Amino acid sequence: MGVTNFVGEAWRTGKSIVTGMKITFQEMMFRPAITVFYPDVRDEVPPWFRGIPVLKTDLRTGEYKCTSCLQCAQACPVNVITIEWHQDPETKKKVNDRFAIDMSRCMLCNFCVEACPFDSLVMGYDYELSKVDPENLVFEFEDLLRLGLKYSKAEDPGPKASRSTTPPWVFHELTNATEDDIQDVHGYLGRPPLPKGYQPELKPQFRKQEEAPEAKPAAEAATKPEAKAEAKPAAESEAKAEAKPESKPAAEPGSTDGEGAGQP
Amino acid sequence: MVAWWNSLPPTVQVWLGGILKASFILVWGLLNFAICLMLERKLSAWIQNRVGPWRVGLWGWIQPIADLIKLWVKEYIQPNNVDRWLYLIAPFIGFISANLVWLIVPFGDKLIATDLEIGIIFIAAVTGYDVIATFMAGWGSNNKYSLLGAMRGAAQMISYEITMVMSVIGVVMMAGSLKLSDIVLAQQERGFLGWFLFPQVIGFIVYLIASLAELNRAPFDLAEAEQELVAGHHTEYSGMRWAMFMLAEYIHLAAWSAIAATLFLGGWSGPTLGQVAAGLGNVLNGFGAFVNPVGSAVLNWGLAVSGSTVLNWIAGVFWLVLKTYFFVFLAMWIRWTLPRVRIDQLMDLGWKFLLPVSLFNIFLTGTLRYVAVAFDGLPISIGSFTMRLLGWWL
Repeated sequence: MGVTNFVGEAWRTGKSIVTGMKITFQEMMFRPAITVFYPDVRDEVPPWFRGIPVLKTDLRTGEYKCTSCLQCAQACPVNVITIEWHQDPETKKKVNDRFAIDMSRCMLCNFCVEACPFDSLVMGYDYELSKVDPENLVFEFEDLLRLGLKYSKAEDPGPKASRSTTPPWVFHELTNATEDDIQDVHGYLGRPPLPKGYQPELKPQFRKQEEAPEAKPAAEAATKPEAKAEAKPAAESEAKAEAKPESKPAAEPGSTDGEGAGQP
Repeated sequence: MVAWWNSLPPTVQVWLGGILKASFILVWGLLNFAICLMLERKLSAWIQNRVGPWRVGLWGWIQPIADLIKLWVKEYIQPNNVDRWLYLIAPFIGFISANLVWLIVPFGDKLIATDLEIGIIFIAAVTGYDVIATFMAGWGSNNKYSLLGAMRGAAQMISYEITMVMSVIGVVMMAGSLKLSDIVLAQQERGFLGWFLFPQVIGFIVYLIASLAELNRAPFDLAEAEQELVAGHHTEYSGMRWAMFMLAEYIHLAAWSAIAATLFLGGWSGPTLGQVAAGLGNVLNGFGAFVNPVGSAVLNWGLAVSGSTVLNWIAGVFWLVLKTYFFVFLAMWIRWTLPRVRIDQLMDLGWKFLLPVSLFNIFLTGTLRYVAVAFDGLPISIGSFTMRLLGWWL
């Protein structure tokens, strides 16, 4: 700092300080606070918000759209998606036994949604997911379906329905689901929150061998009446028809079960 | 009451009075801490478009009390291998040195804890304890960040102490006394426009900058630069000992602001009607250099209006607190506006700019006073306005 610059430097310094302080004074006096008082007031999340990934339901038929193709489990970078399935011998389609997302480790990266070929997964808007017991952070199939109901819509089942070119994260905006759509017309969706100490009913393949015979026909009768009705005429005798569903759980664990891709 | 007090033996008077004054200063300091802390958090929030503390009390205004209770009951952690005595007593030395400054602040006419003859030297001396506390904390903590922060803090405080005292010397030259009550009375006689802020504007600005550095406040908070050193000299402190550093910082800030108000803004004399009239009369009179009947009449009326009564004590405390918090506000406003300077920039500013400027201010004040005194009493009937302004330094 030369002598000639002495006054000039001081002047410029003072001027810039005054400019800055004028700006902060204006901010202090004339700008309102942008704070949202969170627990009392909830701000709306933006359309691109990524909350918990949830599963959609086709509200026209009431069926979940997941086909247990395991693409999401493959895509998951932190291996939090667990899918278990068995093959229905009648329709030769995969039946989802367990679809669980461990939200304690999920990083909300949207990869599973991008990987899903059937537009079944969507990043929901729900963000208050904390639990007292960390084990409750594993969201099961029913939880994900229940949370996904508000993003589901009654779709026209066309050949292009599952091959939409629209990016999956836009579906929040495009969802036309109304209050009427989000109603549990089929009776197996949207159950109330689980009570404390609730033990979920075990899936057939997880039951002990002696329990299976009496539990399995009841479940079969409830969920697949038409499949049973079709099977009956094909089978000659009543005993054979009854024995058929019983033989399934014995065969399944060895052949098609245990596709727990991405075990935590 | 007065008779009872006079009937006491002098020793009892000294001790009882001392205890009363010390208690008052302590409570006053804690009150100032609470207000300053809240003000800082609110001002920073408003500048950053936030609302600040909100939940505790109305608009969060009793948050400092909640903070202090929390810090009081908090776990006290002492690291291994600290220099135990230095580590333990450093916060309290800083706290004491901050409170001592309040001892010589005049709240009103004779409303002052200790009217020291060497008030300004006392301030400089007490500030030295703050340097020692900073360095004790840094050295005793056995932590590299603490030591770095303490080194910086000590270098900075010692450098700026010189500048600070030099900037005040102009005021001392004009008042002719180191006693703070004398300085205030001198300003009161001069009236509103004669307050030392106006003739000593260079000294005032230098004093402001130097006291910010002295207080370790942004943009000169190098001793506790959060981004470089974790918290500087109080990295290793927790609980109430950490709170002592915070207490010291804010009490010091308020005390320095009160000293600034005393030295430059007329202390407890407010810009009342009498003060403004007295100032106007003094300007018309050229501060005694060019006495004329109109100016004298205005001056005498103003001085008569601003008499010293008990009511003036309350008004004096009010004005002093108002001016003090103006400076507190200024310091916080600067803190939340300006970025931190580097250590070399700080030293450049202190030694190469502020010290020469304050020395120049001393030279200027002396010269102008000499010229004004030389003109004083000369029979100049046509006193030009410029000549009258010269009387400002009289």
